[in-house]
Amino acid sequence: MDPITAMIGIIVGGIIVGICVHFIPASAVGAMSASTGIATGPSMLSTGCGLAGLYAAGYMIGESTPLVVLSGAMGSALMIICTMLLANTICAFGTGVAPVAGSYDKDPITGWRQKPFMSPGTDGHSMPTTTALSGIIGALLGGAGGSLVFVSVYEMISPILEHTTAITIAGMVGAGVFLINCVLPAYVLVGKSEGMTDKKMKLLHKTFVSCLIVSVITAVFVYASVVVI
Amino acid sequence: MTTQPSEPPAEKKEIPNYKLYIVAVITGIISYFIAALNPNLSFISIILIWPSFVAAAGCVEFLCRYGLGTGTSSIGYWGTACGATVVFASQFIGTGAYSPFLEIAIATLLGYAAGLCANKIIRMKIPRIEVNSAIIAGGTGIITLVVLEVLAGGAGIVGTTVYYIYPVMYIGIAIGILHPYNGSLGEGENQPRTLMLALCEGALLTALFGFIGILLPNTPFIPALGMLIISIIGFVIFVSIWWKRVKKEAYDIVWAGYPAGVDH
Repeated sequence: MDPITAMIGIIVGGIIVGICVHFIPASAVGAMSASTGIATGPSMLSTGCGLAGLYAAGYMIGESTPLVVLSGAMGSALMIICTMLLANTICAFGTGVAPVAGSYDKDPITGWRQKPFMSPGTDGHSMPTTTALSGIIGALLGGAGGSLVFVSVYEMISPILEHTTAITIAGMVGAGVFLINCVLPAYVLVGKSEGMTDKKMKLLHKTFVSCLIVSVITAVFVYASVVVI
Repeated sequence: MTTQPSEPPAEKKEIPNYKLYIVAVITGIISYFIAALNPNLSFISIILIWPSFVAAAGCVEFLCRYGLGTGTSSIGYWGTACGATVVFASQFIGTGAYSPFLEIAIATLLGYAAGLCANKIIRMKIPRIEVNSAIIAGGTGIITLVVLEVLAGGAGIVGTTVYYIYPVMYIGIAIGILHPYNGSLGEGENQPRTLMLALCEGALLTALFGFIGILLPNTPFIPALGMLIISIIGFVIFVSIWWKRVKKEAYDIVWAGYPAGVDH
């Protein structure tokens, strides 16, 4: 991968990371089963997914770029699938509430009714099918985006550094770019998102533009420090 | 006879964060060159990066008072991501005298751009979020830069010899700037006490980095030892001052252990 392509890879990866946060169902009040989503902020959950994806991508480094990106996406998706499965299990058998969403009356995939199973005064609880699918899509995107940044930085710096050093630095830069881009959408989501069925998906363009600007600055600096200066 | 109620004490004016940042940048650059020119004097460098913790923690406090839409932890990690990522990504820049200026400037610019996006595009409507984001990013960049320089024994822009401590540095610095505000909430939070806690945590973190530096095989022993000793001394001083403030300002307010009227 030549440095210009790698720089573009960092920009594209950063934007994908920003978009992924909109798909991840998360809500702080989910801890009290008062809202659909995993019980934490969307940014922090996305960060967890992204870091899991980076670990998975790290095992494949040295292979072709699509394989590394795919590995990162799979690692990230696996992480969120496990999280959602356990969260749903705890809600169903611990708290005693069914997985229902507040943003739609019938689940678009299964057609199951939502409102009758919703506890009064809540916006839903845990993750019904469509919300869970949204989480998986978000994690796939996040893992792929983070891994794309990781592999792009690695390809850029590997000619001038030792293998292990290059992997570590690329991983840290990848994690940093991930964090920069996944916190910006949190300002749009204001701490709560039901995933792709949430009305806040309409604000995706704001996330896109913000992440584009920030990713361009980061990518140009990485390119300049490695290649130009 | 009635007594006139005494006037409430005038609220002390807070120090603007940009002034804290100007101090942090000046001391940060001096500390970088001290560490680069004579690694054995790097204990002085460590003292000079504590203002960066203060400036960054002050901005976290300022932003989080408005209610961000994201948590205090998010803003801390995000700010550190801007600052530390720039430093980590710039290990390859030559060791010219301009390099620390460049890194601090880029980190500040990245923070400013992200803050600008949050305010203008996402419309957060938080006053001065751009400047405060820039200060958080720049402050964390200075801390990362100088600590790496000290641990690398003045090898110019660090080299990559200590790459394996990047993760712990990253998390440590993030906690050091995000926690002071969270840790002071609840009982009449105010800027002086929050910033004093930031100094305590800054000194504790540099002590940790010094300890790690002593244990690592390829970091110079004397600078790491100096870092550890001066940080412990600083930590003891800052904690004693902070603890006096806590007892004076927060002790009675949060007290819930005894029934009312019982002397305690």
